[in-house]
Amino acid sequence: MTAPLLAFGGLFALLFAGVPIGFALLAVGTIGFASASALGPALSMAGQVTVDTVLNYNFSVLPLFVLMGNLFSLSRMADELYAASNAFLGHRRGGLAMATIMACGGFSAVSGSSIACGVTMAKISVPMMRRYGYAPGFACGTVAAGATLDILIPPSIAMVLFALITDTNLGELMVAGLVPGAITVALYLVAISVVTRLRPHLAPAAGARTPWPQRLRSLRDVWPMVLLFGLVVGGIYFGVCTPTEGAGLGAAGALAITWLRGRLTWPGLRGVLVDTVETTALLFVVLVGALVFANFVTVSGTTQAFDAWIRALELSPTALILLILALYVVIGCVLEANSMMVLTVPIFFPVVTAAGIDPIWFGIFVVVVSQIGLVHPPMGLLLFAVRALVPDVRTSAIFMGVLPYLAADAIRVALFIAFPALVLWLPRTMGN
Amino acid sequence: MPPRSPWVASLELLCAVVLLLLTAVTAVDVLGRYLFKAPVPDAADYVRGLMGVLIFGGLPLVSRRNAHLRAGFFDGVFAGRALALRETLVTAASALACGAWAWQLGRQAMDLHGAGEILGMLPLKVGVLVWVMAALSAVSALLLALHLPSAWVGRADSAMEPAR
Repeated sequence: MTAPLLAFGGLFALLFAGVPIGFALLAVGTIGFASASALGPALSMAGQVTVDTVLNYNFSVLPLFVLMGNLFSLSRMADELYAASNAFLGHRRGGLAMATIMACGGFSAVSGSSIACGVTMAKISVPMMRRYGYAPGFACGTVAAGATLDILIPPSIAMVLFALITDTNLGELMVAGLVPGAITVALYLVAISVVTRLRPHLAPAAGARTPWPQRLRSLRDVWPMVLLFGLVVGGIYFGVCTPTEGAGLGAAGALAITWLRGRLTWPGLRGVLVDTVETTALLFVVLVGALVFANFVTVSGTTQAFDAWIRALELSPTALILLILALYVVIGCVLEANSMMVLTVPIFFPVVTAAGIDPIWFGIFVVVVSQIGLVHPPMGLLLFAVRALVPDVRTSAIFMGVLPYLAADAIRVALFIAFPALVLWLPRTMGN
Repeated sequence: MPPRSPWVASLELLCAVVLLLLTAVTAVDVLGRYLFKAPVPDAADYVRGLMGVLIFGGLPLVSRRNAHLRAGFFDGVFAGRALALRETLVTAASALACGAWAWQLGRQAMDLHGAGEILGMLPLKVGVLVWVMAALSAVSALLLALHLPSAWVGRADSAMEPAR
């Protein structure tokens, strides 16, 4: 076990020093593999993994979903989404915060990047909430928490990465995210309701109620988004298309919607396309690195050693999940969500599935825990992404604003562990 | 960040067109299959080829901005000379790793070229495609290495951009 320990130590040292995640994984994975076999086979393995990954048809789902989300941002439909949510919820205490959560949920249904969601919604909803006297930290915390929905509600880049690393059925994983996504939205709304009753100064008294005709009119503006979501996720659910085909349809549909809304200019489109290509390249370096590292983990016997340790502890599946949850909370304090996922999944996944835990359920569990990592300090990327747009609000204030949602997250995780059917019911009905 | 040169603009344009083609092939294939029972012939092979160009075409664009995804845990700890030294070492390590990757892909390309393997049903040798990937990785390594002087003197344009 000396070589794996050295490899993990070296990997963490490189990551903490600031070496890009993909290159660190690639280097340590290749060198570690070489220590377990020889340099020649290790180099060949790294090259073969690269070629197999890059030239894999199914992996094209990644750029297509990224493009779909970026085009949705370009179409600026998020404004209408927020207006529609506000028309229904704005009159309640904390209504603007509730509208933000609903709009983030809607945005998530056509986007896979939580940072894109956070940045877009922060620009729209934070100024509005501040204008109406909301506590700035609570307003920013609401956006940060709402944006985490993006990696749980399909399409989700995190789910795609999990499926690609573990060879899990992406269609089932995406459909499995729907009920947990809806539960999360509901719990966040309850959290807002409770916290604004207990601390009324966080959100001012309710505003005027929007008349029903105006509410219905606001819905008319968001139908293309609903149609696109139905086309992609519905198509996958009913088995009409594969996730890759759905992603292609989604990207083409988003392009058409942006054009129909008059937002499709060549500079704008070019920017979106280049941004998507760069994001894809970034993610693929990490993905190839993760797969090379996973090969090292397998060949070095790390998984078997971890499995033997778990067996020696004689843990029940629930206790195993609680142990992994505790490890994720600790690791989440030193690594951001993407790094945490690509590093840990190759080790945990074989052990978890050997213990009889459903791979789809575990995928959602990992996504949910990574989602929490996006807003819990010190590595909460979304806290910093939102703060970058609202520099006059302190990070500590934003963290205090996130706390009610973290409490809701704790309840959510407990629910998913206690009732796995909440996650597994919907994917089990696919094709029936 | 270095100024945008004509080759960057050309590479960006190429990648943008490839991505549009990827979207079009996938969407037309599925719509053609379900609506007209006429899918795009060999669509999956076209997608595979386009993916190779797309990903490795994007790599120099990311490396040019030194914007690879990082964990960034100790970002706030370093300042002044220590930060410049850290950035120099990290940039050198990144360039080295990317260069080694390019070299291995070149070896892989030679093997594949020798074996004469073609991309599915298309008249395109996988070896040629992997050569392109290796060349673009080498360009990325070079672009990363070009950040070394500014990293050493602690100029802001060498610093890696925050993770997305």
